[in-house]
Amino acid sequence: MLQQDQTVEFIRRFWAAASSQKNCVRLVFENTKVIRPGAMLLLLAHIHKARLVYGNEHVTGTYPSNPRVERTFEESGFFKLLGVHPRRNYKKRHRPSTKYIPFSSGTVLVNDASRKLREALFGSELQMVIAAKKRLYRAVSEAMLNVVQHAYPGYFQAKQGARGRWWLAGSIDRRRDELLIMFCDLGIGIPRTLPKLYAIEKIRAALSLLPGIEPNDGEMIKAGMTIGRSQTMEFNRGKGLNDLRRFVEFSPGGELRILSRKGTYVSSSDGKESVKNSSLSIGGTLIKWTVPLSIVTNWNPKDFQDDELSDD
Amino acid sequence: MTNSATINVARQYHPEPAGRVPEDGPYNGQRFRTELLTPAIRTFDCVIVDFDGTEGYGSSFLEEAFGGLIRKEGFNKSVLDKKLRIVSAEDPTVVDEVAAYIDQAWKKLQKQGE
Repeated sequence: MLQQDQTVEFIRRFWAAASSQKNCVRLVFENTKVIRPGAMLLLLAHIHKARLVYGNEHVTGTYPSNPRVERTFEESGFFKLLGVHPRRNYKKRHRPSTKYIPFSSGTVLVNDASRKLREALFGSELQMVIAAKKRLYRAVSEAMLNVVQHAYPGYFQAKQGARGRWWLAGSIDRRRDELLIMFCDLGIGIPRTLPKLYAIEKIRAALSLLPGIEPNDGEMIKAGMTIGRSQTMEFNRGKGLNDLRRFVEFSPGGELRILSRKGTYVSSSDGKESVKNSSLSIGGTLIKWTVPLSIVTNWNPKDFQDDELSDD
Repeated sequence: MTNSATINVARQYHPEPAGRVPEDGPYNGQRFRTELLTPAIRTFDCVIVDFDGTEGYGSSFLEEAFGGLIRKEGFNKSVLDKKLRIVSAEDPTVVDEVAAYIDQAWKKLQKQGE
């Protein structure tokens, strides 16, 4: 089973427990050795939704024994969301090469979300290249706008506090020279929203599919990117998903990854694209932008000392 | 002697504009167009729109603000070509992007009139 499918299966079991049990659900992370950033944000979003729907006391968790995982949970705001108090102060004991910032979440377009993300990630230590800053702003604000406008249509079942919600997270990894920005929602997904915006014939044409062939979820995401790139502007249609790509197009070595329902679309800065599909739906959309830190900021990889203390 | 006006988006509107319409948020393209841009174009011979100092801008904001000049405000493209100048030392690509939205809106209008 793919790692992604394992995450989705875990989330399914989580919801089965959360919705059926009168007592609180306790997530045991003691044996968790590693958690990928995308999996963590997706899990965080589902847990947050469950706490909004069933109450804050309904979901809690335990400390992982792995110190790196524990630090990730602490710095990303995961522990705070679960109501778990941190038990170590890593800033005093370590100079980690990876920095996570607390996630943010909302249900409306938040104009300063990108700036606050940038300031939290870089502080006064690093300066973002202006052109990169503007493309990051475009990517985040348009992703947010897509959620507000399309991800949670009126007929979509969503409980109080969860409707229209998005989550935004980020991290920098100096050892890997990497900036990672992630955005997710738990709406109906791009494969379901795209046919409401564009006729199926236009979608098939974007994918060069024959009439009668139904695009799978991964192909739907790609179609959204293709239509946005080539389509002339139509009122209330925007550039589709293409705005999401500009941040990585600016950065050689960058990658945009969009997971929505069962589909995954990957676009790299050199123009290469790929799609694939899983057997399980992630229950929303997860967008990951990965770019070289040294390209989008004044970070110099030579400044990273190999003997820098790290729990990585 | 031509009279001109400069609109610095960051200082005179908002450093973080986004969205098309008021439902999207308060600093949207429609509001920028109706409250600042259109009155300036109707008043002055030359209107310079400067995007420096902004955190950024999305295609939704730009298209509604500038494509909407054709679609909603009824401006002729030749008037905008003559009067409107977009400037940005920080991001010169916005100049061509705005021009493309105006051009596309004009072509669509012409096509609808056929």
